[in-house]
Amino acid sequence: MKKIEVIIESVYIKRLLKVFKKHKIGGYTVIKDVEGYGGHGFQTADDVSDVLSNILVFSVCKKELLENMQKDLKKFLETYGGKCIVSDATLL
Amino acid sequence: MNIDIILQNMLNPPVLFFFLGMLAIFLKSDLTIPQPLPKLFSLYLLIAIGLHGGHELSQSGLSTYIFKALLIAVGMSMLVPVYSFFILRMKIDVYNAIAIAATFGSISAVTFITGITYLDTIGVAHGGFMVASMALMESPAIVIGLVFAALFAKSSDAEDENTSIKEILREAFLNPSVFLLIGALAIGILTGDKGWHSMEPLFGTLFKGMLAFFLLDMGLVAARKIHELKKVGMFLIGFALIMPMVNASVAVAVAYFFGIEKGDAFLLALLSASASYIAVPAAMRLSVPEANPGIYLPLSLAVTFPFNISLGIPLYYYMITTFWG
Repeated sequence: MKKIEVIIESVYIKRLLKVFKKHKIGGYTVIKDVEGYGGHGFQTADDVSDVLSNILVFSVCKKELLENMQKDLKKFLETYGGKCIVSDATLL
Repeated sequence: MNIDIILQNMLNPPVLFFFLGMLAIFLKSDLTIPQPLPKLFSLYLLIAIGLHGGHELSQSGLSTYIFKALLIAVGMSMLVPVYSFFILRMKIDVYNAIAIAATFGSISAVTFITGITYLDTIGVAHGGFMVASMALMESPAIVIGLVFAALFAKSSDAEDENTSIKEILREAFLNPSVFLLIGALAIGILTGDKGWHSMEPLFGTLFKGMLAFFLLDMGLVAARKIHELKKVGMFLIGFALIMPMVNASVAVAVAYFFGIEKGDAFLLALLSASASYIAVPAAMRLSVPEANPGIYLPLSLAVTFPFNISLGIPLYYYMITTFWG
């Protein structure tokens, strides 16, 4: 099993979930308003609109599903920015 | 322009709270407002201003005068992004020119609310229907931005174009602030005097206090964006300072020509001078992802917004008194 964690700007969440849906990733968790430091400097989580906020989406899926999705996910990140981290996972 | 007119605006508690928020960041204070609250404040302000406007509209009814004022509002929100785009194209790339032009074509509800608070403080009358003109001025700039994107820019999102346009149009006309504002306006019209009096303790009496809270948060956000201005360049900073005055002047001239009353003309000028930092940037992130939000957001939030609520309001009011007497 693989765990996919994607940090993106909140406005792009629907587009990311479309990629998930296309590759039949049925389950995911969304954590809104995450703070952190990156290429765009410090992103805070107390802003007035979602334009300025980041969001963390994570999911666990089979290795084959991730391999199918990888190309689309890379294209998504090239277009809209963001970070994607993939790691090994064990589901209990 | 008289210094008193500037002080009258600056010594308004909500405006001072805005600068207090900025000061907190400059002095590296740990002051923060927990996340759901700024969103609650913005919802509160939209409901309050919508209900109040609807109530006033239910008393005055629709007239040719109101129709004229609404027409000027829509006309300005279509005209500003067009000439802004061609001015911007002289110096910057097409994507950023579209996003900045759309940002400056749309409006800032909080600037409008601060303007209304100013008029109330100095006792100048204004029509409740102006809330409707504010709601009408939010979306056209997004549509103009989309048209420019289709005409002048090659989107990297071309294969997804149909869904994309649908999504952006939804964002333009059904974005939360426009939806809530128009909804509250309709409720205000439907429930009239009785409805407004039942809601007044929360949405009338507490209004200025909540505005102060919201502006405190805006001060924090604006100050955090100021450091990004280093990357923006002098041309765009100049644009963000000069364009509001140009747009306000055009609006003042048009309003004068059409015989709009003093208070309403001031609000039309202020709306034309303001720039969006919520609805349009959200739509531009979706429709023109190539544009850099690190440019158009700091310009609208950290330059135009503070300028308008501190010096812009008295300046536009001065223009109005010069023409109207």
